Amino acid sequence: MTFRTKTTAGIATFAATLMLSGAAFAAQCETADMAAMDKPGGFPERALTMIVPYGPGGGSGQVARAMAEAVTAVTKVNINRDHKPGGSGTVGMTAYMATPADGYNVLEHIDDASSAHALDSSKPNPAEDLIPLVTSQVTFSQVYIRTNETRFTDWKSFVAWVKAQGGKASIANVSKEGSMERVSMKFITDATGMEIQQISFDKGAPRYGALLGGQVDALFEQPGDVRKFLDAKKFKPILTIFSERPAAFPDTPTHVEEGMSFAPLVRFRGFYVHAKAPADRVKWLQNAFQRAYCHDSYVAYNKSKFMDAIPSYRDTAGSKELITKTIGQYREVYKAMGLKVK
Amino acid sequence: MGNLSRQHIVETVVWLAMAAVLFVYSFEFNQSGEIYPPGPSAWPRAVIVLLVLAAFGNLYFHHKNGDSLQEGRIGLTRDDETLNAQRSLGANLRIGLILLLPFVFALSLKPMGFYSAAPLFIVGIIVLMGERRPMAILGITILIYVLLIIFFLVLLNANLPQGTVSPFYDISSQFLIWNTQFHNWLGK
Amino acid sequence: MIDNFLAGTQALFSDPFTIFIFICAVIGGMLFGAIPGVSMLTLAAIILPFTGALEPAQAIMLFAVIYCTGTYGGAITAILFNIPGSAENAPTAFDGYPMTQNGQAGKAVGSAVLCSAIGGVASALVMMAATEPIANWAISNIAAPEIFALVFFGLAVASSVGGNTIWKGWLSVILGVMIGTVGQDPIDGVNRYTFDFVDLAAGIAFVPVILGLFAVSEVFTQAEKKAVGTYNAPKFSLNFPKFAELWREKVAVLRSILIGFFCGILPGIGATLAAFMSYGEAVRWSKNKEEFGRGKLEGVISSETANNAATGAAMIPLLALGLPGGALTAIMVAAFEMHDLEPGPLVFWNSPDLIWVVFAAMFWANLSILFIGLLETKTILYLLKIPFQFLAPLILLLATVGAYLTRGLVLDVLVMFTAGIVGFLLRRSGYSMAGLVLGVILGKVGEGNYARGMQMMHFEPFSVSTGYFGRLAPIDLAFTTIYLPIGLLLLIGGLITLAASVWAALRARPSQMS
Repeated sequence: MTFRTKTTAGIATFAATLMLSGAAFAAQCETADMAAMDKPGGFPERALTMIVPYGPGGGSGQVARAMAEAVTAVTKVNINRDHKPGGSGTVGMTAYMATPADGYNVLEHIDDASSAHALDSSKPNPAEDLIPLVTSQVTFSQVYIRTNETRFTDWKSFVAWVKAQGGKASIANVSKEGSMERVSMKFITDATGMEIQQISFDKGAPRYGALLGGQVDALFEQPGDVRKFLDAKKFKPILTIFSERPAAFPDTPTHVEEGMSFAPLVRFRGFYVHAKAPADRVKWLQNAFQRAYCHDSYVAYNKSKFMDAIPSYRDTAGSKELITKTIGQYREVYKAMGLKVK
Repeated sequence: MGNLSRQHIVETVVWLAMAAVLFVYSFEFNQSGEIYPPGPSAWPRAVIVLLVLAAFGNLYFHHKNGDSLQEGRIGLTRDDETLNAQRSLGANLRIGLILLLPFVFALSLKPMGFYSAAPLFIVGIIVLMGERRPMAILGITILIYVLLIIFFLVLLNANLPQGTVSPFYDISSQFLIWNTQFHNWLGK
Repeated sequence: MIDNFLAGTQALFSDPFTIFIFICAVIGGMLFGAIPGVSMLTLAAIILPFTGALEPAQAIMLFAVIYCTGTYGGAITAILFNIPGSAENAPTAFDGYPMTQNGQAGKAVGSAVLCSAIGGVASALVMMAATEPIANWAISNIAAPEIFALVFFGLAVASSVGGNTIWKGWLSVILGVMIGTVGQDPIDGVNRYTFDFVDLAAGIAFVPVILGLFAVSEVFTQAEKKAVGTYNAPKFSLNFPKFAELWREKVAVLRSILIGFFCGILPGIGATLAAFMSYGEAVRWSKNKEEFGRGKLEGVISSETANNAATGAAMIPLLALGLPGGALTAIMVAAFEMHDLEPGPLVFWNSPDLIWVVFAAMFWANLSILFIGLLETKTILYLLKIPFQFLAPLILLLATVGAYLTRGLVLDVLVMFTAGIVGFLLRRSGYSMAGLVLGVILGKVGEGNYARGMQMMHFEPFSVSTGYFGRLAPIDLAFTTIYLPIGLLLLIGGLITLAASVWAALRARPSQMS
């Protein structure tokens, strides 16, 4: 009992940091320094190259595009996006680390970089080997069912139904080993004691089609990715994996309310530059990316992806804090799961 | 030995050796998946088994029929007079170099970048193809290089490898700066 | 359907910018298809990042049009240089290139133009009628187990393509599947066969494999001919075919359209299989079998009609199931995703307007091959006049850029040149280059769907309730509805094909052909 109280208190603090720090940073958007941006020593005198370790179509590809366009709108400097997908982001990361640290090369990456470092510390630590320019998306996961589902209607009836199936129920997921999705599902199944077959889809369309076509019983996903299905009332969320109910989903209970006490893992996407890049250039980039976050086009994009449901913005210090915390969190989890942490 | 030639034996040995190496290496990732019990090694191993079966099938066919083709096959590659041509040592050396050069070029792309490596490659291929007139080599090299730059960099703004080491990276940078300046100038 | 088609056509031609994009796509597809070394894939990969700024309908239409005209354009390099623009143009080279050597390049290209247009237009019509009903039916009836069965069937057929014997066909396909296992596994994301090279975690893509096996290896072969002195410069000609000559081939055209369409529906191998099967049938039906491969017009016609007839059909699995049928349709998936759309059954529900603009564009693009194709071809024929020692570095560099730009990885350039050497060495050994490519493409799709299918069936594929036997799909016939286990039937079909080919191989008699 003491343990439980302690963990819950821990989550509360963690969540409070998530919410609070986000709120504090978000407030700066209105007062952002809109003074003309001086180019330090003429930098940049050419287009920047943004390495994106994922394909152009997914969440990362889309946010990279939205951010690059916003930066160009703010600074009139073009950004060429160089997509290097593969290896869960490791290929693009490795390619980025080999580029010169002259400030012309920037990187988009997601929380996978943090969990990769947590598992194997020889992989770059995004908070130390890189300088976060801005974290522009922070989001939470949910469990979805079909709106016209009759076998269960909410989380409680879902859990009861799954238990009655004796392991034959299924949930669609992107379940790479050690990923945010896999770890979160492990938390959920451990906490509820239910046995459910996860079906690992690496592409979005078949994953959503599987739920819609009745091939699986539920779906684990972030709300921005299934917005269209939510708006069209094809899917409905039955569980939010976050410490409190986001305003956009007032009727969906959180995992804490449903009696699960694990600290939620969030998905976050941000932009980085080499830690060794010249300081004045880094400053220019931070300014450019942080102001781009406030640009109308980017704000509209984030809104369309439910990225305003919880505070998404982190500046460099906020991002470092988020990354460091995330690495610590994963490291604990991996050890508990019996994975070899190097 | 039926109609088997040495070539058929070698062919089979190569296939079986490949299967053996791949099978041994599959232990590197031989683990049982948490949500997929067969694990990551199941599929490659099944494919290796099929590979071995097909290799023996192939050997059996040659044992029975020698080098003949199977009746009713479609899309066959035809015999080639090049095979029977007289080859000098010089010719073989040239072919070897033509096969090797693209490989060296590909390896140099990461450190040197496209902009620095491409002209050397063009010259190399033209010379290996038998062209000896210096002006033709120079002229065509410049022509191809400029065409590629205009098309991919200026027109399409494609992300070609920039290289990672100095001075090659700086040369690529300079190209990108010129490109930006050119586009800015066009914009005005 | 007519209303939708007219509405789509109107949307396509009412906005000047959309018309502009359409024209650029028609010309761009043909041009990139027709320049040796690059292909429509190169163009598609380069412009993909820029299409994000377009309207979704414009962007998707752009790729669909490039697909139609590029498939035709690939025939030009196959005929003129023996470098098929893509795997589906490979059989075009069997007779097309000998025709060029005989001084009949114009005739071959001219009939490719006409047949591509006919095949494409016919296929676009069927596509418009059939895609939506299939999509609606597929969403609840076709899932991982059925897709795996479909891939299995496709692989069983693929082994019959291009090898000297069925065993070599199989070895080629299996090697391709094996190459497809390099990189992260589709379920747990564990690295396989990466030998500690980080880039290999991204896996081996099929675009560089295709470029290497078909374009690079041909440059090597020509270079060898120059080195040993057997090189013959191709002859230049502009004698286009006469109408009467083409009319004589009407049976071949009709047969090829049917073959093209039915093969095109198979994901992953559609157009390639179509072209090979159509060529094979042409040989089988012919009284003068020995004329094939020496410059017979019917060979070119069969292959080109069938591969364009497959373009429309290939849109069915793409749009109805979200399954890309090949490299270009895979890039189209990315284009959809960039606009926050997912190809698959949901597309008809999400954005029907877009789909009809695309359908209309494909219809008109195929038709426009007729007019623009001939004009463009006259220009491209002049490429033959360039001495090969100057063309070779250009082709190799274009292929380098083409391989690199798809994923931004130097690894892909290395893979391409390796494939080039492999192709150069294996070309005359009776192995099947097309089979190898099909193995790479289908192997990856097959493994992911096998694993997901097993998970869905709780690792009991032959359980009566939840396994293949229990997965019954309704088929509406005019008088009644029947329920069929689609996946099971496909598996059985694949097994029969397999058994038949093994049986034939074991009893094989040597061919009279060589």
